[in-house]
Amino acid sequence: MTRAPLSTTSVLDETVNVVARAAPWAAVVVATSLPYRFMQILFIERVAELGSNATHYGRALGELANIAILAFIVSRWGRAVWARACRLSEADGARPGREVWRVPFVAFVSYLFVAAIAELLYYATAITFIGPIFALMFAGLAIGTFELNTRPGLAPPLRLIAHYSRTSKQLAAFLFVFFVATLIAFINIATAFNAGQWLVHAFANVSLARWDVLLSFTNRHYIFLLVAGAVATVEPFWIAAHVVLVRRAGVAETGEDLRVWFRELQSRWAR
Amino acid sequence: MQRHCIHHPQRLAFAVCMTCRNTVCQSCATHWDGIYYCTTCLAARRTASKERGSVAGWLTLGAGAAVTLWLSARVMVWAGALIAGLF
Repeated sequence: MTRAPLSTTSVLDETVNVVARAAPWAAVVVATSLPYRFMQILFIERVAELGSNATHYGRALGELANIAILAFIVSRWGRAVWARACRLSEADGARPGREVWRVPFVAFVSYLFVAAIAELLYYATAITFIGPIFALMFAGLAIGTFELNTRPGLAPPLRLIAHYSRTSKQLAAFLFVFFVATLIAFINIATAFNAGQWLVHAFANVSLARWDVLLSFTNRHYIFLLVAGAVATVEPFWIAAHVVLVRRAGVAETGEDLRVWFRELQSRWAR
Repeated sequence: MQRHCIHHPQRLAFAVCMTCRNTVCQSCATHWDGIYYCTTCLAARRTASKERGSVAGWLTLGAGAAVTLWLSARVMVWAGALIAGLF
């Protein structure tokens, strides 16, 4: 038996099929991630407004950050449900059913722990360029390996991430691919808004002077919302790609390839 | 590659146990969660799964997650203030 090397394109190809089958469940991840994205935007807005005075408003910003972290927990639950839907869809080759809701509690708490570490890394290194890249790769592996956590503890989820970090080449490729995808989603959403504005202008004969100001690139809120929209659009694919990557990387350990090998041997013996 | 069951040499092998990699016959093999296991390895897995509910594990995981989430909120404020001060 020859084992095909793990390629980024083959994982992405499979991801497309997985997302197509599990598509209705993407609503869960989008709906649960929106409050967190809005809280992030609100936080950035406040910080931008305060500027160099931000250090004097630590308590107010802290309260905002606490609410954002609560929304973060909800969004991670949504991610866990979607990752489970992707995993079930890939294993069965069919549209997943209600069993998707039954997210194992130990797997979710373990995921929450590593996702919080990823978030911590992201914010702590936000000022550098390389730090957030590693934080995103870590976050990808965290969601990819989440269902493999079966025992409570601090070490097991970290050990799993360390184990699958050997797929770093594919993780780096994913970062590039999904960065481009987010950019394209951003352009598409902005174009859709502009097209809508133009159509209303052209056919409804309504004065949109106020909307023209609100939906222009001079408005910071609009840009932040476009970024949030682009990220929310790409997020389900990003999660699914990491679930597929981890599953394919671990296929040798779970014995799937060994099963194929055994079937081959059996057919040889039968001859 | 052995053609017979490791426990019943008179029987033909049916599957490979994914844990110990031994060949086993149809009565020794158990298909669980899409994977074949021999009875010994399946028993070992059951024992391991009983240990999952260890209180210490839950306590450390719960505390670890809570502390990391709390720290994330603090670092979010710190990083925000730091970046805002730069621009």
